[in-house]
Amino acid sequence: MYVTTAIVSGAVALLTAPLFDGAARKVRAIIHSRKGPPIIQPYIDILKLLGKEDLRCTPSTIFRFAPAVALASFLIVAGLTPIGAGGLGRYGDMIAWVYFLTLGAAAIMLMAAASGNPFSNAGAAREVMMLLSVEPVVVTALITAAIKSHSLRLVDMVTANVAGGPSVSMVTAGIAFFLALQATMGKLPFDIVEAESEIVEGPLLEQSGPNLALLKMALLVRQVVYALLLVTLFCPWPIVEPWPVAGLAALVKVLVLFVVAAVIEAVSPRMRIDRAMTYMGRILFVALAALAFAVIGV
Amino acid sequence: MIGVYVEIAFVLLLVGGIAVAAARSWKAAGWIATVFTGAATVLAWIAGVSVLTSGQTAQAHVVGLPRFGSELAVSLDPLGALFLLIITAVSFVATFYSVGYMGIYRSESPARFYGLLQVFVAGMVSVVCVADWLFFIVGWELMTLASYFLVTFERSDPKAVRAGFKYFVMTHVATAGLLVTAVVLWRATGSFSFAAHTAGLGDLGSGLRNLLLALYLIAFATKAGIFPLGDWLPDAHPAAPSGVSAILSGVMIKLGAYGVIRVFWGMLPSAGTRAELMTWGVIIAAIGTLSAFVGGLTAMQQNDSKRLLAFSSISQTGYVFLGLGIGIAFWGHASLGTLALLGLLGAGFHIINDATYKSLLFMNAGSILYSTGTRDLNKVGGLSRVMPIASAAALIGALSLAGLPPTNGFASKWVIYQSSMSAGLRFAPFVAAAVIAFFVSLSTLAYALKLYNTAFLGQPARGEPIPLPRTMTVAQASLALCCLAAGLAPFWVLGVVGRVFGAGLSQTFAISAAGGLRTPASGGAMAAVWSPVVLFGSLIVCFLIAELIRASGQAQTRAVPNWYGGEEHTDDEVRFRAHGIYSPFNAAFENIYPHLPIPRLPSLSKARAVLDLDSWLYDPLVRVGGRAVDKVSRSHVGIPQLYMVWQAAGMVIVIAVLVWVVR
Repeated sequence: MYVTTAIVSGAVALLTAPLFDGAARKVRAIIHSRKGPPIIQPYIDILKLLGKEDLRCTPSTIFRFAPAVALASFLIVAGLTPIGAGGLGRYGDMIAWVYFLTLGAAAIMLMAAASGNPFSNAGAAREVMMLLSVEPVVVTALITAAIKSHSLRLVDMVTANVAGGPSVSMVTAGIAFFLALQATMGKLPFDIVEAESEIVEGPLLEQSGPNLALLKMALLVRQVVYALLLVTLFCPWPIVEPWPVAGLAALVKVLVLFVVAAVIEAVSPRMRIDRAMTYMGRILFVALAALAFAVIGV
Repeated sequence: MIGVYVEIAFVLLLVGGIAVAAARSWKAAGWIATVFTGAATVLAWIAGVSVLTSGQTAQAHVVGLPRFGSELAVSLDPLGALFLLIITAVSFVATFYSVGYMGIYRSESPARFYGLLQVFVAGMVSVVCVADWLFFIVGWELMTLASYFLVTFERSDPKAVRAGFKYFVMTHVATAGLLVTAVVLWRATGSFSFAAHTAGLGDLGSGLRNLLLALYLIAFATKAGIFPLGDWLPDAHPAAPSGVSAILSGVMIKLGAYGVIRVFWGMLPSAGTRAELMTWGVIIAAIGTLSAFVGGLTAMQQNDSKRLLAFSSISQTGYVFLGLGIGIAFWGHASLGTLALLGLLGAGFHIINDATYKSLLFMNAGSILYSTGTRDLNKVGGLSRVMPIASAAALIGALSLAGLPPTNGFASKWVIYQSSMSAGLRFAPFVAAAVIAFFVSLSTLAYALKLYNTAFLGQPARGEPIPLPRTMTVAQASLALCCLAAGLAPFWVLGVVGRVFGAGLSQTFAISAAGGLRTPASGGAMAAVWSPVVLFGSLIVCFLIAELIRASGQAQTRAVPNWYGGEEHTDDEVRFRAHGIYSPFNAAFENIYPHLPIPRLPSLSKARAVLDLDSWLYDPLVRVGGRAVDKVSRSHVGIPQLYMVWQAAGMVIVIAVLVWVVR
């Protein structure tokens, strides 16, 4: 049962992530008053990349295997997400959720540094600084849920949230998580890591061909995973019973989130890194307020 | 019987320290030291493992000092046994590492280094094996003195000498407090033993007791490197040779935590009130959290590889103190047994893990120094091509430091986070500690990657890096394997730590399917689960699937040079230097680490002069003796008739004396 849920979660995250990206691109195109690519364009891009030449700028093994490690880590995180019975949630709790995401990010940073390109190094440094600014918000929101549910396991948190109904602390934590979602997804105005016109795609720069396809898939899965946690943990209503239907409902909500993110992306310029850090600091106050509410018991 | 093994181990270390004087070369001295330390380690491990499995204290009496109410005896209980295992294991690996590493020192004396190293390890062993405060302090001083001479090993470097002096002064100011407590309690009880002092502490009024506890905490927090008392750390650890830095940061600092456990977990629950336990637990956790925060952020700003690791030690000690504080605050509470145990288990596990990966990382920094001759991270790069195995070990060390699964760093942080969040349900500020601990863990990832990326990855820097000798590689690889093993099988290590704090593992964790850890939602703890084997196995499965996808396109591979925006550059020109990494973030936290000023002028040189026995004791004696000998030798003018006159006069005097004596 757990194994099935885990495999299905991972597979669904992997296979639907490009679809969400395609929908986001379509929405952005509509705002830009153009027709835009078809919704399945990301799939076509990935398939094309899988066949292209793999250009290696360094013989380093880290450079070669890091995209696969990153994708694997994010798939594990997808398996840990509490849909239905919770998949891998039987073996890992919220701390594992946060740290496997960090493992994937670390894999990307190591890959960027291994390439030896200064643009990639700058991108890796920016990734770290964005992590330092954004992850505290995510973690504080999760700790709020843990305090409310008296458990570190994600499934217990969902159960407690569903049973208790919307509470002040969980709603505030959800708002903080949503405000941080744009940054965790790496979309404008927070696409500082892959700043196309500044550091030429940063960590992605020296990757090509199949490794680039894996890396793109990894980044898309990461976006889906963050959105998935927001909808399953902080916004589980309406509650539907058999877990495949619950999963579908979650995916619909994730689609809504991606559309909202695309709208914000289309109308925003990029923030400078230090401005982004102070902005995230302000969002951290919202998250800390949620934590304070949870400690009080509201 | 087992206690005798410890005595023999201690004696072996001292004998080894003397034996290295016979060695002619650095290598010979190194191997002699390694053999003696290895033998001592084997004996210590036999003793320690037997104490931990049986749970009984091993005793061996040497000599009693009834007038002082003290006795020199080995008394190894499970807590001491755990630390004994860590001390000897890390010291052995570091000595083995030094055999190859000390090749960079040409003009210094190997006997001085290895002799001091053996004495240093012996001092640390003696600290954890006694149950008597007098000999605890003796061992403490022995350890401090030996490590002072090792920190100032490069006597010609004024910065090293200054760093050693600062270390000496700060530790002794703190140890003075320790002496005060020992003497006060001796006057009150007439004995120096731990048990007597526990009873004595309980009999004192609460004001005096809290003062003594404060003195204890200051002493041990200084040794542990807690901010701001640990200001000696960032200067002293880089100054020492890398094998010694590994021992200093890996195990000597942990003895500060040992002292805190001894006093606040071993003595205070029977001597103090519930409220005092809670207060001191909160204080310890608070200074730990502050130390973790400041240490982590300052480490991100460093460009010197060893200084970065020294600040990292300050930060990781903070984690240990956080776990200890939670454990101490809730110890003995009827319904919060699991919570307190979680805190202590987390702290103990983190001590073991930090000893492993911190010494590994200092050895890596030593490898960088050996290979390139510099500690400056701006000047190194691409060393993974020169030392692939050491680079892989460094990667594992960096990931363990950052606490990423499936390394051991993650497992101990998991326990500490759990305990912190569960404690937050009882006492709200612990939740803030949990948030700060998460943030510090991210900054740990930042500086761990800074160290690894700049030194080992990327394009090679200018200059010819020297490949490493095999002993250095083997030492680092073995520690890296320990990190991975402890990470994949944490329940085994936790079981050992659990024996120290008097609980079987099943009291706190249930071992779930496939060797995972599951915390039950009882006794004050929150439900949590971590199954490294399953998740790591799943990670490997997903990795293989990803590689399968990657290979499905059957793409060709081709080697190309780096792309620098279409311009022509040499690799070294455009290398992303270490000081540029995280500069926007560091600018926000510029002055977070204030330095305690140690006055530069006359007191410093006068005090240093006192320590320099050569200048005021030995040299004058030698000079006086030489002058006397000179005067005597001037009377030998070389005329035989004068010598005959002396002989005749001497004969007369001797006969006169004999006649007078016989009569």
